[in-house]
Amino acid sequence: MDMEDNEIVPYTTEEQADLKEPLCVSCKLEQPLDGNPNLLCSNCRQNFINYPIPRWIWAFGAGVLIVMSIAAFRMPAYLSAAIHLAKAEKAMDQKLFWTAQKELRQMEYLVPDNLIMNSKLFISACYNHDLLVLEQAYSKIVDKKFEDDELYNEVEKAFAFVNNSFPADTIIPKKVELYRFNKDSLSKLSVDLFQAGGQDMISGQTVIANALYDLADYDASDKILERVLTMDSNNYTALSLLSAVKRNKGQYDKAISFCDKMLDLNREDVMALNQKARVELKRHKDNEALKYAQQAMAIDPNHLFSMEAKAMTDYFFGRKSESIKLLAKIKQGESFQGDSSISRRLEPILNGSVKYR
Amino acid sequence: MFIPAILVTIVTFPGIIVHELAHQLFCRWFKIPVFEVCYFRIGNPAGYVIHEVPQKYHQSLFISIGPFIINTLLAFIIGFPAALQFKFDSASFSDYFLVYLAVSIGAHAFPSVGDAGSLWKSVMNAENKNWFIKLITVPAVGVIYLGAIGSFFWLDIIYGMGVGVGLPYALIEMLV
Repeated sequence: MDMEDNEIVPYTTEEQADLKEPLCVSCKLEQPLDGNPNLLCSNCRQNFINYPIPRWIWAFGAGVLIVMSIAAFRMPAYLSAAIHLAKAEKAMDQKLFWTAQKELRQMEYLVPDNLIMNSKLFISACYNHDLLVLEQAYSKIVDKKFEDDELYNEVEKAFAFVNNSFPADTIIPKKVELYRFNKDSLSKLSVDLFQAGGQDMISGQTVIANALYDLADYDASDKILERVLTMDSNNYTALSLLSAVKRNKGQYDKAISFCDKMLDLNREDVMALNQKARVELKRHKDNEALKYAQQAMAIDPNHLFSMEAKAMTDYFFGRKSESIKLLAKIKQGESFQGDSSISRRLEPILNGSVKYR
Repeated sequence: MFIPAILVTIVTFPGIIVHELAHQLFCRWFKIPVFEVCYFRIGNPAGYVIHEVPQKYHQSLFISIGPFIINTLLAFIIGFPAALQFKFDSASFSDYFLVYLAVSIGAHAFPSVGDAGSLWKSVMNAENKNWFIKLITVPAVGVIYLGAIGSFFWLDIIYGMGVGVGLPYALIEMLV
């Protein structure tokens, strides 16, 4: 509250008028300065202007200023982190998990052990199938107490999403490896597994379907995968494999529809976009294919699937040297990952030894 | 739940000190003599500054609304990084303290009815021919009175929370 007051003036107006030469109302020695509401001499006026601020107020003010300076110093970093987190949350709401992961990684340096950040990073990495980031984030959230139930449920859901792609039981993959050249044994293994059920049944079936796909038994693979989807409609491995099966069976619209289902789970799924590009190339819709390849490259130009889609479209648009350069880049990337499946299927197409369409 | 106003005043005392200090500093910057300052007391008003009537109308305006500017700025700057810690769910004791400080300071940003009275008396007299200052003063005084009425409904505390905690979140939403 501020108060404009003349209480310090000891004279009344009438008394002032009686004085021939009014004196400063404070010191009563000097003549007051003209033109001011209070009759104060120059010295007294200056003293009142500089009305003393008590030491404890200086100390209090200094404390507030120190706090404010520290806060101001921290502000840019926390503002930046909060913006990245908010952008990531918005992206996750829109199922743009690649954008979300990118945003979260940009704030990682500031809050490396933060539970919310690592949980969201884990979720994004799950839907992006980025196993390296997934493992890093998982190590920071495992055994931590979640106070946000909604976030915990999202983490669980993402974990289940990834878990369904990898059988925990190693017996089924071993059996599949044993029968990998025998279509009948693989089909029988599938029937037995459907009957036995169990926790790893679905992931086991996708392993079998994949082996049948490698043997070009698309009908058998198709049958298993369609059945898997009746039990788990969002099973990513089944959707992905089925889109390839349908492409090879010439059922292009169905292949595209399975890619779209993959994109419903993650709108920035480069694997789905790569698959779409390959389907469109197969049915000679090269401009459509180019659109998907460009979309994948815009999301992540260093992703092996993005590069594969681009290399394929470059090849069919007559840019062979560009496609060969991308193949070399893919091989380089694969050497880090220890899986050369992309280059193995791409190279024969690019060197003309396999006719893709 | 009924909480006596005096209790709120005591709890939010840092805001009152900053409020009065802001009045005093604005007086000093405009070279207006100050005769008495009470930074905090348990009473009504909880603090005050007695100063000479400024001869320039804009000085009256700024001395009256000075705390609004200073308290709001301080509340925002102090509250910002601390409030964001709640977004990361990693607020520590110091963050709770900073939020308390920011809300306390923000809650006393509104000029008091006494400030409004001084401003009105100073600006709305017949000698003042500056219609622009008068035009600014009318809504300013109106808002101050509304704020005073609103303080019965915790508007001052809500404002403090809005500046110290809500504004950082609103800013983030706006920037994303």
